[in-house]
Amino acid sequence: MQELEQIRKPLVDQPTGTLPDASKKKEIPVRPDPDVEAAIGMSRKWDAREAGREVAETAIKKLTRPPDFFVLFSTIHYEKYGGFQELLNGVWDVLPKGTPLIGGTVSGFTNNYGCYTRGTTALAVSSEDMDVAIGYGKNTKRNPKHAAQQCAQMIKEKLKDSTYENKFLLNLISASIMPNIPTIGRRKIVRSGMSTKLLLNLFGFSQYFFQKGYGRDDEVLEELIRYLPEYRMLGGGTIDDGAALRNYQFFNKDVFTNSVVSLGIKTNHRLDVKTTHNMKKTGIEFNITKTSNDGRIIHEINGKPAFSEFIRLLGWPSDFLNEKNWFKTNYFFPLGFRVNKEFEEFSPRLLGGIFGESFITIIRSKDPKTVILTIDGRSLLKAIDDNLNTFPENPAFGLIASCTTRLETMGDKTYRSRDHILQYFGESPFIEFYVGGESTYSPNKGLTFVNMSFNTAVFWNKN
Amino acid sequence: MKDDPIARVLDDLLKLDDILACMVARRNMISVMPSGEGFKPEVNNIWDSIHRAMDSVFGVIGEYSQIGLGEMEFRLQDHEVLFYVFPDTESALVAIVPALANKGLLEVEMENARREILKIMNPEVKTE
Repeated sequence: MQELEQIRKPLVDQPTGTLPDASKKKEIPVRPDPDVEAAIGMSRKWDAREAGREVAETAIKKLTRPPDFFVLFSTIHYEKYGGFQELLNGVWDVLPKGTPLIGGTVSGFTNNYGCYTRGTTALAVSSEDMDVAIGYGKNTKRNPKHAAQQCAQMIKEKLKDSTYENKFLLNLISASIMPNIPTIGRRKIVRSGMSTKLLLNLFGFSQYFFQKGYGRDDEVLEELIRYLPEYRMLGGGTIDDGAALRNYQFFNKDVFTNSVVSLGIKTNHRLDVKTTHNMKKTGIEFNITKTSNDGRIIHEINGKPAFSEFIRLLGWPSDFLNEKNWFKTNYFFPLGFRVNKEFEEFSPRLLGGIFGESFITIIRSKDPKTVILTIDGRSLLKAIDDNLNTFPENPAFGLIASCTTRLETMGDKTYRSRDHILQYFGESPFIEFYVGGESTYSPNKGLTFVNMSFNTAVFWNKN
Repeated sequence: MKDDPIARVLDDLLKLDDILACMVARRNMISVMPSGEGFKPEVNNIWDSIHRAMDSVFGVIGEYSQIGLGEMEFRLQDHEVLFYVFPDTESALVAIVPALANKGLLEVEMENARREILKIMNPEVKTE
């Protein structure tokens, strides 16, 4: 077993040239505490192996004991600069053997150092009052229930003897991937040229045989909850840089695709999860009247072809939704649906594409009542305050699954969003990782799986 | 040029797929370019037009940077040009990107590059 003492020496010699200057001057964020130690690692190096080493070194060098788990996030760039296996090899050059590791690709991340859409970051945590297990399940797009069952069983089995009362599960699930349909390519909007029925058939074929299609994250989550209902959960869909062409999950020394990887924790430390989005209703409402069997394709609204009725309700010309302004229109006017029919709160759901008159969505429709939501920059920031202000002060560490649309919408103003997060976390380690399709679950609040939201898991010390 | 720390920041930016060209520039002058092979070939056909348009934009930057002009951008044919102004100067970090690029993600790294260059230009400046 590689001991921490053994790896300390190279840390001094290791060049940190690609780390931001701030991190050279600043101490690595760490939460020294008799109960729990947490630290954030980061690398901006281009070479995958070197970046892997650096992210592990910077994360664990301030811990006084080996980490109990290691959560790794990376942007997609390392695919071209050595590959993700090399990134993990670099991490394992440094990380003590046997440390439970999960992670995945994200479009970007914010942490105690700054905001980045290129690089890798990690959270390492060590605690004497924490039992940890990791699990995985493959083929989430083909058989999400089976994948979730396998993953949940691994967690359950490994933690069965733990007596700690507070339970947490971090779930990273391969998000939707745009299928490459012949003659259509990967366009988001296909209004003519091929019959909608044929297109949708090809989409279904791609989903099953190539696992390029919907993430089916919600089905994975529902099954995880069925097996582990007493856990609080935070989840996110692993993605690339917005193209939705590929994404990867990390599990110990392996790189997976189309999989779920989970980190299960039982602990004495207090913890909680929360989702906020701060979307506002536009006042435009409609009923979804015809969908595909799985509820992910909306064919008709108000009894009329979906696309035509949608733009009529919004008062948009028919060519207004196009590839060029897709982000500006789609992201600012998501569909609002009720997560729970008993509540009037409407949560955002993005359109994934338009085939003919039909809308492709990532989250299933279970309730016909829909409103069109909207948001502005200030409201995006307020969602952070609304979320974090509900928690007690002085967190030990936190993980935040934030929708990539928030990052893509705010752009360089993401630094303002980080300022709001820092108001709560201060020097306590945190990572906000940007994903596609994010969720929280708690036994008392149920599952919230939405788009365009801000989702937190915060841990405190025992007392 | 290879030892210029600002050029190294530009080298990092240019490695991103959708950054077709980047530079530190002011009106009628490109101050620093990446140290490697220069711009990506996609820019060659449109560079003369973009260069002329950039000079006009730098006129505006020169006039308003003192009162807080932070960023500017314009779209020309299938390209967008982003200007990240160095506060209180007539210079800016400039990048040419495809019009359909995921601009939000690029903006984050543009902002990081601006902060790094500011630190190099003035180590005493606190950018956070």
